[in-house]
Amino acid sequence: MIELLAIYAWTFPVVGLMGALLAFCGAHLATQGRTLQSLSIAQGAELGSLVLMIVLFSSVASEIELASWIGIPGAVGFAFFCGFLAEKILLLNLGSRSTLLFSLWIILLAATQLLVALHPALESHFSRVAVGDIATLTRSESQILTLILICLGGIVFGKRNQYLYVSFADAVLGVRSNGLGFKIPLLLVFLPALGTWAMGFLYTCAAMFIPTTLLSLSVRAGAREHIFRCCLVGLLAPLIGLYLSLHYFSGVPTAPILILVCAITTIGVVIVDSLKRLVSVQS
Amino acid sequence: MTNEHVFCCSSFSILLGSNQLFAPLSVKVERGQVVHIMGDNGAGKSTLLRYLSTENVRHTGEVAVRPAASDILYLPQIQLIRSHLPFTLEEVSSLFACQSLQPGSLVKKQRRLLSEFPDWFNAEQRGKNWNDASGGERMRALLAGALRLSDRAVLLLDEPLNHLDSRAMEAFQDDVLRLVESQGRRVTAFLVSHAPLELLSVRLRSRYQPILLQKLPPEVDMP
Repeated sequence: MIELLAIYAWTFPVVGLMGALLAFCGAHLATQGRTLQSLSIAQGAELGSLVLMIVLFSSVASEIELASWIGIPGAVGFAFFCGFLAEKILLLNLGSRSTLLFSLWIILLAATQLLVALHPALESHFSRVAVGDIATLTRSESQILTLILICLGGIVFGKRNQYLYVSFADAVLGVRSNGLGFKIPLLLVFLPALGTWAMGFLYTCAAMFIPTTLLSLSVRAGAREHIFRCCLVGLLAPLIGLYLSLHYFSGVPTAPILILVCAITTIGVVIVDSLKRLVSVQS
Repeated sequence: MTNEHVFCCSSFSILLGSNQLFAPLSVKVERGQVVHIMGDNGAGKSTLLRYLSTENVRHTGEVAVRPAASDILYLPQIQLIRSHLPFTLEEVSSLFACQSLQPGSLVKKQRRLLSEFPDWFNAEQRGKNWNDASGGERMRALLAGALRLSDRAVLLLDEPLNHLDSRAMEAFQDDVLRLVESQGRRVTAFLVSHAPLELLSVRLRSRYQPILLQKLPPEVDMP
């Protein structure tokens, strides 16, 4: 077991940091009403990653072993394109914007399925970007990702108050910040795209929205505290989940285990909060 | 026209399709004035503020000067009632300092808010969840932030007196007066309001400038 943990030693910081950052993103994106937009962006990242693989497979000799890093430009580029489309839909003065965004996501999902059906060779790559196979991250991938995530975490931490202002202005005052301007793309496009490439669509969406939505059931005053708790759950739940996955469920994909542990941990926090409030009211 | 002007226009009107929203307006607004924008419902008061907040709005006429984006604090009417993030009223106020201050000084400002702003907040209101607060409490939180914590020189306030009780209205008018009369910043305030700002108009006299927008019937086309 210790050998197994040693092999995946660098995967732990990746899942922890990614979980915390995605939870931060999710709290802000849910406040800004960008949940459905995020689905399209993550799906776009999945599709973009596959498209780039196909282009490279058809243009470069197939015997060349392609590093999985080539998926990142495709994921980020296509995520930006989908983000742009979704932003245009959000800016429309229509009551059916949510349905339009949902339709965009379904179209992207269908396009992804079609691509995989036409290129069976991409099945394993599709499996990674769709469901997520975190345990397949190589040591070098994990090390570079850790470094990238630490840098992104530093930026997000430094700008945390400005993000709060943007989210509040967007949600309550209706002052729509330019989604393709300077501050939003990191939250809206880059982190979800990176998450999709590294952890898969399913895990990325779950890590973004499960902590913030479940924790909002435990009503508390304080946006900063809510975000801190989201990040804490986002950090710890995947670490526990990955340990359990490696130790007890090595035969099943890692991402579903991580998602379930994330949901259970968050529900646990909500229950503990409710009990604490009950005790304080009674006393 | 001098550097003292923040907004100068002639024969200005905002276009909705090919129709002018209000009768052509010619106005010069100087620093340190309180501009009270009035007009019937649908006359274009809020749209004019949105234009001033540097939003790209089609218009007729000539605009020689308009405020720079970096000088503006725009407080539109509250759009949604609930927020996913559970902001406290104090957090809402402190957010107005976010765009120009470092986090360290933000905390200091926030502490000052606690001790020095009893006219806007009492201790109980400060920790209240935005989603549970009344309309008046929310407006107090927004105005306390806009008037006390922001360092912007042009305030665009859309219906700031909505929901306020008489004590908060007085605090609001005192704060606006203090800002426009201060020698350093010389704040200019554009207020959209249906309420008569009698106190302001009496106390400011030379600084008070009313703008009455007159609605045009939609069938009037551009010349």
